[in-house]
Amino acid sequence: MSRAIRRIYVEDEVADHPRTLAILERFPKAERISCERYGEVFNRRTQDFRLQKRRPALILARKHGTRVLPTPPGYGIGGERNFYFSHMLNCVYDCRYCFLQGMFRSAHYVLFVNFEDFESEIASITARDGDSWFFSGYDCDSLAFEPITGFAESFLPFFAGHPAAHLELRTKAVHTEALLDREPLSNCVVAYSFTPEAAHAELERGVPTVSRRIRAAAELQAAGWKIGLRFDPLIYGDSFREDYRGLFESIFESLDPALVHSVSLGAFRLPKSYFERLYRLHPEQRLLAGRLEERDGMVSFPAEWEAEMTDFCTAELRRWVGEEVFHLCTVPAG
Amino acid sequence: MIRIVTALAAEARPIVSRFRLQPDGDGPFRLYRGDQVELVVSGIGSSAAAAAVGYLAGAGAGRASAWLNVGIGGHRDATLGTPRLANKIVAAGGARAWYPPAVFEPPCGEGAVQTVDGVESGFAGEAVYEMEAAGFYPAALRFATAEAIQVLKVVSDNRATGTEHLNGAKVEELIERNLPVIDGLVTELREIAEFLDRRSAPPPALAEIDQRWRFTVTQRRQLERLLRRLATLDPDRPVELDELAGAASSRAVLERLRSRL
Repeated sequence: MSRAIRRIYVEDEVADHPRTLAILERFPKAERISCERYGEVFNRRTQDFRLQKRRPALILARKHGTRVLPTPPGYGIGGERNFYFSHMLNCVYDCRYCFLQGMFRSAHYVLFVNFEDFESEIASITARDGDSWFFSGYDCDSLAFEPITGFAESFLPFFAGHPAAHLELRTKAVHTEALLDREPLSNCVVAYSFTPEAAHAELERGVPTVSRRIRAAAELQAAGWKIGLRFDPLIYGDSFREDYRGLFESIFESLDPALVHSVSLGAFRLPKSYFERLYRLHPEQRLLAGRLEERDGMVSFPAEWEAEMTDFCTAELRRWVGEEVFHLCTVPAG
Repeated sequence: MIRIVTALAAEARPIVSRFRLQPDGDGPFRLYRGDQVELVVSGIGSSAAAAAVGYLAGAGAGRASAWLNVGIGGHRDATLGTPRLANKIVAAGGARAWYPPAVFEPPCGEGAVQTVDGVESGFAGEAVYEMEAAGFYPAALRFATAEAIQVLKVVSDNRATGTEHLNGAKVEELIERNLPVIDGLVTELREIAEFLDRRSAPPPALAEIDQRWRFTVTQRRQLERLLRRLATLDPDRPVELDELAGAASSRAVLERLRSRL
């Protein structure tokens, strides 16, 4: 992964931040380019996400304004107060269903190095509201960039000291050393995202295989970490029943279903504008060229397919886990 | 098609020769064409470079294109002849900056390029100082995506050796020496242009169907989208005119194609 970073843009304001200096030290050969604000590089029009995905750069920036936001309705795993925060924009993986590719113009990775400001905001919210959930993998994969960002390494000790703050790390990554090297936290859930093998092969570029992810989740569970399972997006296909049944069986051969913290499902869906951008980037992708419909500004599978998939997967999963850990999600997922 | 803009005829000559370009027309800018490369000589300065981009975009052939600005510039202490691919372009006065992304391994070193209004001798910063990039780059962005636009500067003067030593022959020699780098960039840009061309190419049978029935603008867009989707979903069964033969109207054509999804 580190070989892929050849350019690092650094906002003037964070040029001397200790995290900036530590990251730059890891990439002595990368070109360093100063910029005033990350948006000058990241938000410019006339960029091609797919071309940039060949060789994304890293942008080190400061997150200004409100850093921790309420989640959209329909996003959560049972908690009453749900928030999300993005220490990073974009993901090292290249999933062809991912809304990030429709949302951002650039494929560069933006890392907000001022973790301490996120942490103090989370502390304030928890002091004000009491028990709250904080989702970290909304605009990025929580752990995929861990060897470079040290995100978990920094945030886990913080959450250890704030038991009313609950953290979800959502990921497809298999390097879990940052977690295995420390005591598990009762207020942290490591949520693994899965699609069946066939969808993985067609749609998830650069993502660890399903079996490696299962192994990583099982190792974490054995070490005492709470594991969440995310089947979001559900992908329709002629053999979706066999595919998902096989996936669930593989997962529960390795994981103890009784110890699974939460399971959530959500069918493939994207806001229309994101979908249009994604389709223009990948017109040859069968998923995007196939039967999809627009309903209430969202593009998704036909309602009957969606219901068929959701009902089937719910029923199959209920063979393994109880209703109380089950959640349907209606917000686009990556 | 790769479109190259140089400020000086001396910068252009080695490139014209390398790609066997032929002079074309007698318009406001000197224009050269080849099979895969077109070149225009803009004259000195940002405005001239921007105008030349517009001229070449209008006069050029081919669909998707990539753009390259090649020229000389001064640097504080870099060796004469050093090539620099721009990773940041700063307009004169520092009011605006652009960051050309590189989605390929650059064939040479990279660095910032500072556009100035006149000859620079102070070289306060680490950048290459020159006079066109901040005009060329935003103008080219009107016609291509940022990844398909690059700026290459060859160091022609520095604090030790000023511009007084420069003449046409010397400029030509500096560019000539960097033809392998230019070649490398042209190869990379060509691949990008071809990729973009393939991705946006009209789907098979679009022109024939469009000629046979009368589509509104909206319907034509729907037709193109349907044909593109079918080409992805059913690549072994291309849409044939015969299967649409009985369709009484453009709407019937669209319905028939939709039923194949």
